[in-house]
Amino acid sequence: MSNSLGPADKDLREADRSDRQARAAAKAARDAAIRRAEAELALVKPRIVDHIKHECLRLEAALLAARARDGNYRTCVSEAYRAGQRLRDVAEPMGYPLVGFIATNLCTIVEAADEAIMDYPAAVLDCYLDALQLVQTAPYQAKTVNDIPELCAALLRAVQYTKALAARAVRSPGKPS
Amino acid sequence: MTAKRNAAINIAGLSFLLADPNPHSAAIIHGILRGFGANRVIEVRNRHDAIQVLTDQKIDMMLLDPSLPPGGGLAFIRVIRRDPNNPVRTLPILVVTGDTRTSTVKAARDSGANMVVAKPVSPTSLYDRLTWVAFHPRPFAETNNYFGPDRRFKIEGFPDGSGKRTGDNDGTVATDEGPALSQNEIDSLLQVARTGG
Repeated sequence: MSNSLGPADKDLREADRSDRQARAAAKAARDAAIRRAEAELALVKPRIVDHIKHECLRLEAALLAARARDGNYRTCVSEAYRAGQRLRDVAEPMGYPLVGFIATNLCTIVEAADEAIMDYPAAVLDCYLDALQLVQTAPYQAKTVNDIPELCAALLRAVQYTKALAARAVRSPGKPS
Repeated sequence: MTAKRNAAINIAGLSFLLADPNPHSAAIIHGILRGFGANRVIEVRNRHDAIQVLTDQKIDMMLLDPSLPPGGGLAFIRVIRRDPNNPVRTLPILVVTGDTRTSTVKAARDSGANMVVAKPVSPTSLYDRLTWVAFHPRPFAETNNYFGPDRRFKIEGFPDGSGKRTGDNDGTVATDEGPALSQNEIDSLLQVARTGG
């Protein structure tokens, strides 16, 4: 058996080398574009951070009003949902990962309750209000989900609890949730 | 295909329309596009302004939030796609949304969106989805109630040996129910995966 390469093998090797070179060039261009985009995001960050702080205050105020359980409960939760949506879209890339995590899950909770046409789980919303107040304090501001897994796991369990309630409400419409 | 997979996108000469009612979310996407080299990004906050821009200027791609008022972004996509006389009927449209429930992603797909990108948008996720849309254009399909990119994304062969159209494979898109999706799960709803014959 000969080890020498035939013309077809050489062509294949050449094509493979060209392919690898093209892949490397594309990866380099992609990495450079992503670095430039991250630099651009750093420029817009100060303006958006102010907005995040403002939205956090609105979300907190809406959840506090909801906690009061007065006649505007649903309106307050709707306002909290809208603030949560706005935070969900911007908080994480702007350096507030836990605020983004809380806002995302809060939206999921409200959406699950709305889809099942059930009452909002008050205890869960209270739990999220407490968490929101906590993660705005200095020691927690820049922390990520991985930094405080116990708290985040508990918040996710609250989401699962709401979804279970919602599933039950869908299966048994008309019964109080 | 290999050449396409290995290519880098050059978007410097493209015009983007960014239709997002949230100015801060739009600022993030705008910044990312600028970092990619886009020189022309037009922001609008509502449908009326979006229509005006699409009428007056040449736009190569639209990034759209489903909450665009009035009426919502997905309804706006349907308006764009359904009118056979609309000159921008086949405009590439990326839906950019924080609401990634299966129902929303499927609604975006069924309205005629080319791709769904989950918010918060990162440079990596947007770059890869722009590359996908640029290098993997899907043919447009028209039915009685749909006009848009072919929705039969995940084509895995047909079990009974016959497709729905001549020369077609059968299509499977996704399971029907579920919670919010990750970007990878969204991609699996929206990307072609031809594994059957």
